[in-house]
Amino acid sequence: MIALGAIVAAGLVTALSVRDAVALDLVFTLLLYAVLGQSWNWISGYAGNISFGHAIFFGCGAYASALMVTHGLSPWLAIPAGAVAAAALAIVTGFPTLALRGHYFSIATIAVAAIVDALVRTQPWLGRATGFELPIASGWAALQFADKGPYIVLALVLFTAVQIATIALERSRLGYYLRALRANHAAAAAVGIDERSWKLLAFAWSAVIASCAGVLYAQYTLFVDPPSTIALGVSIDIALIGVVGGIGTLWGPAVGALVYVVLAKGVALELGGTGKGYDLVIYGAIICVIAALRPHGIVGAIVDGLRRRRGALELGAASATGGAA
Amino acid sequence: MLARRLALALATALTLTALPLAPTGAADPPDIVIGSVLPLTGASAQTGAALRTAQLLAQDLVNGHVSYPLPMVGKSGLPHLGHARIKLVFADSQGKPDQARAAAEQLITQEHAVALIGCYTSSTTATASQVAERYGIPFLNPDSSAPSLTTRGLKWFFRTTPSDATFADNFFQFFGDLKRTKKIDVKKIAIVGEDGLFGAGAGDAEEQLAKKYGYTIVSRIAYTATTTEVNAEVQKVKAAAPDVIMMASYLPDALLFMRGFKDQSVQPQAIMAQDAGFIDPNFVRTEGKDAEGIFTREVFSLDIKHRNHAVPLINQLFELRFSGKPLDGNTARDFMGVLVLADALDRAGSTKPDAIRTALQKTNIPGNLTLMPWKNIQFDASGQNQGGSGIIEQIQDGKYETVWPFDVAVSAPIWPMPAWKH
Repeated sequence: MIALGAIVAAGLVTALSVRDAVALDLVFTLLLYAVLGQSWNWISGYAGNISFGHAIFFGCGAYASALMVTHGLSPWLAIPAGAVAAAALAIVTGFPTLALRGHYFSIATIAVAAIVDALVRTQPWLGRATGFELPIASGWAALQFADKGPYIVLALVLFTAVQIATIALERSRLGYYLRALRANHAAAAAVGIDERSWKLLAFAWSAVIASCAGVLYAQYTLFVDPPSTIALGVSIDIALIGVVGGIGTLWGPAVGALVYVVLAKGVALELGGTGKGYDLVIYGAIICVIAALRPHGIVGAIVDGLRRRRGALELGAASATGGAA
Repeated sequence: MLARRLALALATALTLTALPLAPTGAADPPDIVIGSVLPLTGASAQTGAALRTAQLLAQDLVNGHVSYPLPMVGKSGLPHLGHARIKLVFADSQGKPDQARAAAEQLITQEHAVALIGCYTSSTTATASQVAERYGIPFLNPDSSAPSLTTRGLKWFFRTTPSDATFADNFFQFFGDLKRTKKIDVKKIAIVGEDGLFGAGAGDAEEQLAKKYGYTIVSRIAYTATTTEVNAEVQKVKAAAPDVIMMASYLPDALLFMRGFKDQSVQPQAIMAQDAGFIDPNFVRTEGKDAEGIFTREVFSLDIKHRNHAVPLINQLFELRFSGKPLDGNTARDFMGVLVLADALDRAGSTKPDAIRTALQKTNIPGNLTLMPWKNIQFDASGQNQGGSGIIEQIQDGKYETVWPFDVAVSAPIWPMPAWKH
């Protein structure tokens, strides 16, 4: 909670004082991906069902936004519309797949995402492969701004809401059930936890969160097409953020997003002009290192480290008293 | 030893006294920064590297003193701006719309680019040009062909390349010319294209134009470019018995369809392709004799040397810098793009965005001073170059020969295409 407050304060100060468009762009992207990572974390971290198709929920929001705006409606309507669409999609696809164990669920999510991708690319009302360009406008009614400040504030509001929701999740019945199911689904089922319904609930909420991020993304980038919103590459980026930061931890996705944005986006802007692809090499190397040495992610490693240190201190204290005796 | 120290001290003293005087009169004007957003990594990285080379070549020729029959080349920079040199600063789009947006913003705010150029793929051009619009910075797009880009009502967007609508229109102009000169009558058209941005866009344009000019579409087929089997599609085309098949395919799927047409003896009068897979060097290499008679639209050909003798010279310079690979439609268009911007900057005589925009609107470069087959470069109110057109080539004896427009053609079209040899 203290950390969250500090981040909100820092974010607000940034939004109001910094005028460097590139830095603000990175901050916005950071918050957006932190939200996406947290959304993924709900189903893949807490519930333990690794999703490789999370971009389709992000796409629900982005496409809802594009459809609303291109049909002359308010983009604010995209928030509930995208959320409903994402939740429905999560329930429809989750019902048969969430009961699948381990890799089979992951494979199913890839398949579902591929189907959604193919459908969007062929449906004229969804813009086919061409996608949508949102006309330039300004103001709160149009949910578009010439300055970056309001975007940062909106992203910050979304990020804060999602972090608080995650804290609530960790302390709620749903959160305990999910972790119980992740640890041992047979034992959890034996004490009467209905796996499918609780996981469907988590999946639907996870989809709603991703959809909200999608609306914000569309209103910011003003361009929505399949490769940039629902393609497998986006799903993998989202999953990587969750993995790098630390699966099933409150702050993991935010840390993962920080690493992703600093390396994949920030370094790309600094070094990308050379065309040598150093940025991608560095990011790839870091992922390899984390996968090999710290499979619990950065936050996981820190938590492990703290525990070990605390354990060592207690041990040290015990041996010291023992020595004195 | 002492003498050397004394000399050093004297030299230092001289330099110090000279310093405040030196820069004033003889100073070079600061370089004028043009920001370029290109896909330097990712799936289009190879093209991105070629485009970067072409743009840098144009920059160096503008800043140099060797003249060619091209606008702004060989004047040692921009004369109306005190011979200031232009300097391209590149940023990587990774081929992603959101990264292109960020890259454009970086070039405008941190590098203080007075104009932007880019971005090759239509989706990245869409987002980067919106950033330029927000900041009020001219954006020149030399190389993206999605028709929608110039229908957005942007004030700061200019496109030199013809769009896919124009390229599709060229096919029908070609049919019209054939009818007039050779009494060849085309009626039934089948459209076959991959279902992505490229194929679907080209197909839509062809369908609209066919209706407009009174042709009949007997079949419209969309398939996924990654497919490994097209027998059903080929059968549908065969059943429709078209006079002409219009194709929009990448290399692997182009080869699949060619094999299918041959195996099932689909024999139209002509196959007209939208470049891509059909101009890949591996197309003729793989198809051999079967490739004979295929028509493809192109944006550029070295045959244009008959109109502007700079073409082979620029091509040589490009080859020297790009490990022997020749200029192609993309690199030639990007090369011209930099010259068009330099021309506008010079006429503007200022680096103020409004002045550059006004100068761009007044651009009028005759076609024979370009590397392209265009009539001229002149923008309409939407920012689209009105003088643009493509060319149509036909594979004859394993080589791509320009057959249309007739004023840059080097051979006559062979019509109908030869029968398949089994």
